[in-house]
Amino acid sequence: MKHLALILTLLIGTAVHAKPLDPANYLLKISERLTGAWPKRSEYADLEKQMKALGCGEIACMGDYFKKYIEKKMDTPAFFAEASLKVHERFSLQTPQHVSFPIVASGSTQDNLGIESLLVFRVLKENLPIDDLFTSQTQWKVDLSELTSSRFASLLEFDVENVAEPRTRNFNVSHPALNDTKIIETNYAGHPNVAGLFSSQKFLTRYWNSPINGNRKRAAAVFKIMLCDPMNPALERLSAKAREQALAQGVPESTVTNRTIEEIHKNRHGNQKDCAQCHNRLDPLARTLRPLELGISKFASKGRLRFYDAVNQPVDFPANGFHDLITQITKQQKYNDCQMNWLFNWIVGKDVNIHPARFSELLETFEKDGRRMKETIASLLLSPEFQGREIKFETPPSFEKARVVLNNCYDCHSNFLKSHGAQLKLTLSKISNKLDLPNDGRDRKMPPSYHYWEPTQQEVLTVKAWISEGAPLVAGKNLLSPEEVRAILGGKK
Amino acid sequence: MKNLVSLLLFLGFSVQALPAARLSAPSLSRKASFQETYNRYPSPFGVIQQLQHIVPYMPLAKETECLTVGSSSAPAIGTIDPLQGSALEEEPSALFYPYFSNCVRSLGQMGFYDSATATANAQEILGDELALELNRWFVDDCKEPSVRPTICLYETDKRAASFWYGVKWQELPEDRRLKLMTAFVEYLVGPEAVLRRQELIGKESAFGIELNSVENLVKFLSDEMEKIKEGVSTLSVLQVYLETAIVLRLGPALKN
Repeated sequence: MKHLALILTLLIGTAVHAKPLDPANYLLKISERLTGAWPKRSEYADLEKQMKALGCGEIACMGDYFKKYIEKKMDTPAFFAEASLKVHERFSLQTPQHVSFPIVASGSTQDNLGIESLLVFRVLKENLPIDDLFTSQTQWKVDLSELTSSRFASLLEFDVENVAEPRTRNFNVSHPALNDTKIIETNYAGHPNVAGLFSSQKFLTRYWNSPINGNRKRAAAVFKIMLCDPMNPALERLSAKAREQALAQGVPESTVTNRTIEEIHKNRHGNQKDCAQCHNRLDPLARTLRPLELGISKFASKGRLRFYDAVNQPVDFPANGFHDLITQITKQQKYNDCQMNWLFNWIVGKDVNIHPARFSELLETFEKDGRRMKETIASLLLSPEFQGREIKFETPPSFEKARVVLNNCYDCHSNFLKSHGAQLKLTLSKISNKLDLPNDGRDRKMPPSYHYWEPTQQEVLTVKAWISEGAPLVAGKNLLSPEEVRAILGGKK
Repeated sequence: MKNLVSLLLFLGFSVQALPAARLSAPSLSRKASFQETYNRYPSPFGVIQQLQHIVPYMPLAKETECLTVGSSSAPAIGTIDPLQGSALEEEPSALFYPYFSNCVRSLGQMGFYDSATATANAQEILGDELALELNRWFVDDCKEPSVRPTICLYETDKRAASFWYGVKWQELPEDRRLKLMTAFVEYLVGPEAVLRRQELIGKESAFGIELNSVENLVKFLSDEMEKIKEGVSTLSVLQVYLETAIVLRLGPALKN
């Protein structure tokens, strides 16, 4: 029976969407996604020539050709510019006004040079793991000593105070994106607080610290960027009118306030349950950021990454210094999910339907291939989803029904089904807790009372039924073992 | 979708005459329906790349507002400064349409202002073969004194720029018009498969009529452009190219 299910899955897996892309439109889509521009006349002509030579009119038989095309496009200045822009967006950092070629060292675009863009360039050019954006201790900057204008020098300075003997070397990078620019490479290996883009001036300026926020703004940014945890404030500051409206809609008074941050800080902040949900994680993380308050100190500050394990219990990972903390985060499964989600949303699109089992496959490949950013982008461009085809899986009816119910959660939460198995298990454990599945939803905590969606008991039981089956995403392939089901549902079926 | 209709009306008024009715047909708005999941709204960088493709060579490119994300362009194309906002993720505002068409026109003026840049642009847009043929047209036309067109009054090296600016679309023989329009369509959109997917050709094309082949589309556009008037005069070759770019690329530009 299992074999039959597998064969069916494989057979159905090859089924495609009604309107997949043809080679010319695929070429256009690749070009637009990577460079923002559409292909040149010569590129279309080359494609046609190739199609004739191969006697082929479909993408499937032109795999090698498109692989080479993608490789070529990924080595253009325009691609680096687009990628740099995307990374800036992800970090919510300001990019230069002239976006034509942010990393080209020529003409009036010199003010576009920056260590942030150069880090993106290096990660892509050298096919490094995406982790390097966050953890890299090697910094490239353009040697401006030979340029007549000193105007740009100040923009590139990376003020690292008291750095213990960084090693530097000068070399030329021969690439159209850099216009044979002379680069100074500085290596801060072993420095406790230098960690990729997080220790750039742009990041530190964007997420400023103050006596009140005490680095928590930066800590929240780390959670958001690395773990896709939104870290929304529990207490929103609302205007009097908005407060009235929120209260009229049934929002609990404890979560609505019009007081100033100072008042909250003085009287209640830190003692409130709602605040504590984030602060028990933000505070220990923010402690590691203390040495970044004034420049970047060489002294490490001990802090913690507080997280949740598979049974939803907080666990502390001690970290000695900011770099250590960031490295700890890169070891988390949720980090992996978050980065893959970002790349998928950028290249394929966040509104593209993808089966959780297929997303899980992508995640496994991402991890197996060393989370290399360039390689992952290339493989996403070659994926059936990008080509307008959908890999279909034989979905168990219980999951189909549960999915419809869980769709209601995505108004506020991200699509938690798009995550790796271990993370999904953790999420299911949380869902069970919040919906009070062991007691058939009698004492559920989610959704909040003011939310428009009120799940019926039947809907709660639908989710429970799926989990009690072992939470299969694909027919015949249970996510949870019977022991795990018992743990999640509190021993009741 | 009203936006696109307004745009097309705007296009018409901006050249002091309405474009031919079929070019402003509401059905063209289907191209900008934003429904296809594999398409994306362009980043500000993407919009600039699109504009650069339409006029690839521009001597003063860095100085124009159209190639800069700043306070003047941000309301229309979004911004790359996340402190002020973010790149467009939703349907652009109505400001995008006049922004895009105005930029195409002003960049076009710059790109064909001097002869060297005009030659480079012509070669890129028309392709090597047709660009060479264009030069042969000048030579042939200027051989016979009795039928010499105005362009022959210009020195040889200035004819490339003056052809785009000075020659009226209507004055060209039909075979030349069709050759030029074929090159425009191929350059601005792509081969037949791309035209078909973007519904520029098909049984029910974006123009609301049946255009079953590239030839049909080329003939349709060429004829429609011939009817458009700027004041009392018809459009120049350059104006036709730029208006074609706006009509063909506006929808797809929004669906990067």
